[in-house]
Order: sequence, then C-alpha cells, then structure tokens
Amino acid sequence: MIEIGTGTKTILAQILAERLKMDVNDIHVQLEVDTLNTPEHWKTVASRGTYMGGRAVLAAAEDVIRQLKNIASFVLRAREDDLEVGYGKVFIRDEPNASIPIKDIAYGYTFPNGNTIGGQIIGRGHFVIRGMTYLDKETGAGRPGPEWTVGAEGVEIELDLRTYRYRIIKAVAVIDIGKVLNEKTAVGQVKGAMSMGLSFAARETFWFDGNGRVLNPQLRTYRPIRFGEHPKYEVAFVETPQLDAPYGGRGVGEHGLIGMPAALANSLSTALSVNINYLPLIPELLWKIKRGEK
Amino acid sequence: MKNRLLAANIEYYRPTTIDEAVEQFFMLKKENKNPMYYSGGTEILTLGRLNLIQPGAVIDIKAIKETFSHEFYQDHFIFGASLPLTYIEEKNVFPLLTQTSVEIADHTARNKITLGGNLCGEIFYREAVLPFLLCNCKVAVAGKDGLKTLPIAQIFNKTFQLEAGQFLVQLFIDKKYLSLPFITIKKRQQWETGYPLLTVASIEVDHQIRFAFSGLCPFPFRSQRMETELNKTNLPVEKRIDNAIEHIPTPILHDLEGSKEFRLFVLRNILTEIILEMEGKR
Repeated sequence: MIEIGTGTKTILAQILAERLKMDVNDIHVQLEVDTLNTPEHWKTVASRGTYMGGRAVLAAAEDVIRQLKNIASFVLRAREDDLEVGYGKVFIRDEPNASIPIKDIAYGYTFPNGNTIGGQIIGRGHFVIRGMTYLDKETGAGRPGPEWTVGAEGVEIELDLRTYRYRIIKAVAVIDIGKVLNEKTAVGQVKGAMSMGLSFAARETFWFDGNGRVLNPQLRTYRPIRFGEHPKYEVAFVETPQLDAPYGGRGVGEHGLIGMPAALANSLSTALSVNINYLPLIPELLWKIKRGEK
Repeated sequence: MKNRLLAANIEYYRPTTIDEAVEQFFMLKKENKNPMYYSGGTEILTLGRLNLIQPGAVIDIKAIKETFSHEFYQDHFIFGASLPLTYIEEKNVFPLLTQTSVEIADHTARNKITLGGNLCGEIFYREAVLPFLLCNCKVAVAGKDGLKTLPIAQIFNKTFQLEAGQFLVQLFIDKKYLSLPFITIKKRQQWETGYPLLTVASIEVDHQIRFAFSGLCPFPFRSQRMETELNKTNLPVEKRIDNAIEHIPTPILHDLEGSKEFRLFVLRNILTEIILEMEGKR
C-alpha cells in the first residue's frame, strides 16, 4: 500500500513489532513505493489499509517466524514447536537461556567448524478479503465489503436568524474503531476527515455552467475550509474489536467525514424549522429554503 | 494556447525615476512589446499564467521613491502606490483603509499586493479604492506630460481611466478624514475566505453618511443619488434603503458568489446595520 499521510505504515511497523516481540525502532520502513522492490499492490482505498496491510504483515511475520524456528531448531537441537521468537532471539520456551540471536541466523547459520546451513530469511504475506461477491445488477444483492464501522457525530452552531450566517463552534465524533492501535494518528485521521466533511458540507463544491463546464477551477474560487475557519474538534473512540482484523482494529480513515454534512444540515434544519436537504450549506441556500424558493 | 513559463519570455526593467519609467514604457510600446507597469506582481503573475494577459515587458515601479510615500504633507496624508497593503495596515494611519484592506486576499498575498496594484487591478473588486472614494482624495498620476494631480472623481469611473503610459504614483487624503467615524463590512459567500459577496465602506462626514460599494456591481463605486436617499433622516430606514436600491448602477452582480436577489438581501442588512449604528451615536 501507499502511505498517503494516514500513518498506516507506522501502524504496520507497530503490528510487526508486536508480533515479533521486538522494538519498533529496529524495523526499517520503506515509505516510498519503488517498483524495483515493492510488490504489486491493489489500491490504497476503502479505509482498509491497516486491516488488509496488517493481515498481510501478520502473515509475513508468521512466515519469518517459521523460517527462524526451522533453522534455530538445528542450532538449539530442539523441536520447532518448543521454540519462541522474540526480543531479537529465538529461544526454547521452557528454557529461555537456551537461545540464538536472530542476527546470527537471519542470513543462514555458520557452525564453529565452518559448516553453514540456511540462507537469507525473507518473509512473505498477502491478504484478500474472504467471501466478496459481485452485486446483482437487478437486486443489488451481494457482499461488497467486509466489516462495518459505526460512529456518531454532531456539531454545535451559532446561527444569525436575520442574516442566515452561521459559525460552527464545535464538531464531535465518536467512532467505534475496534481497537486504537495508534492514538495520535487515529485522532488525526478522524479530525482531518471531519474537516473535509465540514468543508464539503458548508462551502467546497464545483459550480457548473449549462454545458457542464466547471466555473471555479482555481483555489481562489474553489474553496476548501481554511485555517481560521475550523471549529473545535472533539474525537473519542469506542472499542468493539473486529475479530478478523489485526489486534481488532476497524477501518477509520474516512468515517469521520461521512456524518458531518448530515450533522450540520440537521442542526441548521432544527435552528430554522425547515428541512434542509441540499449542499453546500451556504447562507444563500438557507435564505432560499426559508423563503420557499428551493 | 502556448504553455510557457511566464518569466522566461518577459523583459524586466526597474527605473528609478518617474520620467525614466514613462520613457521606458513608450520605447517598449514602440517595439510592440506590450509593456505593463509592475508593482506587487500578484495579478500579472496569476493572470499571465492563465494566459489572460501577455506582457512582453514589465516596468517595475518599486525603485521610484515617490511610490513609497507614507507621510503627512501640509493638510494631507500621502499614500504611495507601491506600498504593500500589509505595510499600510501595520502603520494604521487611516483605520478605515486598514480595515478595508485586511479583508483583501490573505496576509501572505497582501505582503506583495500593493495599494496601486489593487486600485488598478483587473480583478474588479478593487476594494482598497472604497476609502479613497469616500474621502474625495486626490490622485497623482504620471504620464508623458509629467505628474498630474486630480480629484479622484475626475479620473475614477469604475476603474482608473489611465491613458497608455500613465501610472498611479500617490494618493492624497485630507487629514480630517483620517479620524472620522467609519464602518466597513465585508460579507462573503461563506465564512472568511473568498472574494466579496458584498463589501460596503462608510464614513460619517458632517452628519452625512457616505457609502462606497464593491461586489454589488462588476466595479466599485460611490453613488451620490444613493447617498442622498440613505441620508433622508425624516424617512424610516427601510424606506430610505428601498429608495436607494432604485439607484444602484447596472448591472447588479449575479454570479458564483451569489445571486442578484441575495446580494440585495445582504445589502439591506448591511445598510440597516450601518445606519442604525452611525445615527444611533448622534
């Protein structure tokens, strides 16, 4: 997968460190995609980077552990199923002083007399979601996605009933993330998504002429929410683990965005006692709806 | 359409005197180089990149010391055309100008945008002109006949009516205006970013409120007839505004920022706010 600022590769390194019981600082992460040595990937989409990438990392970790145990069993003269990998070593579970450092076997092992066995250890892992189907074109029946992430969002606004101008004071999101794997990046993901959602909700849009040409093709007229226009963001998590996800984590990348336009429209609908079902929620729209023109 | 790096094909000149600048202009014009005077450059660069203008040469006026005046002279205060908007805001000699200026673009852009550049810009809001219209300022313009000083009403009609080779050097404000009560209000389509849906600047002079507008029509203006109606204190405010609206020049803007009808709604609110506030203090 590609690191697009989500922090997913940081979390993948954490997952690997957890599984190999090692220091995350000893894991080298290649952030850039280089087609010379990066495996073919599908897409970085659907808020499933941690889930799918994480499962692939766990599979690769199992592959590495199996190979390490295989070679260590010769060196330690022990059954593979009596061995554990962790803390930079392979050791015998019930006799942990009997161990061999991973660095001594990761490129094969050389006995004191010069005999050598094994070779460089490269772990491989992949993951696809089980049981996906195409959708039935007629009925829409099928299974297009894996688990659900649920959440609740709200905003607090201040609306001037005379001018229809408003300010968003606070935006709140509570997301069932399954398990928080990295709190700072998770909060960052949700806050970022909330700001995108509010931007789409309240201003950011393309305006078209009758021939479908975009009338605002520049950032001076296509205006995402800017510094100084943000409300206070509050983010909290609920943890209901997803059983087949790495350490229980659910998708969270986009979920903070989805509820924001509806939360804002609902708050404005309440304030103005009319149903507001159009975007973007600019003061002129509110004025028109209130006058019964839309 | 040519797709080129703007700077690659443009000649650059930086004269140090007014005469030199004008002479340079006509020389370049003779060579068909479509010369343009250049100060902050923000519009020349952005419009140039969209191929909406194609200068072959630019004459940077920022080495001409008169364009940096920021000082009292007899009964007037002089603003040089090359002063960056943020400089004027930081010095804050004329708070009405400061408050109108701080709403233009963003701080980073205003470090580059100059007073003269905003006043003479192609982008039609030119909000920095509003305070100068309200104060009947005088304008010093350089051209082939040397430096001329005119009342703004004589040279500004929607835009500065500059002839080829002329450029704005200074603006003179009678110092009595620097401290009069004022209100300037800018409303955008949404929040704090974007061009004006409507900007209204106002100042009270001898119990009369003067008004200047940007974003109402595709040009900034001040209207004597609207002011007359708005100052008829014997009538209810609502009626005064209704009457003033009859005299808005045409066309009233109807574009991406907002419909004509909504602009008038916003205009009514702003005018009411200004009149109640100004007259309430008397």
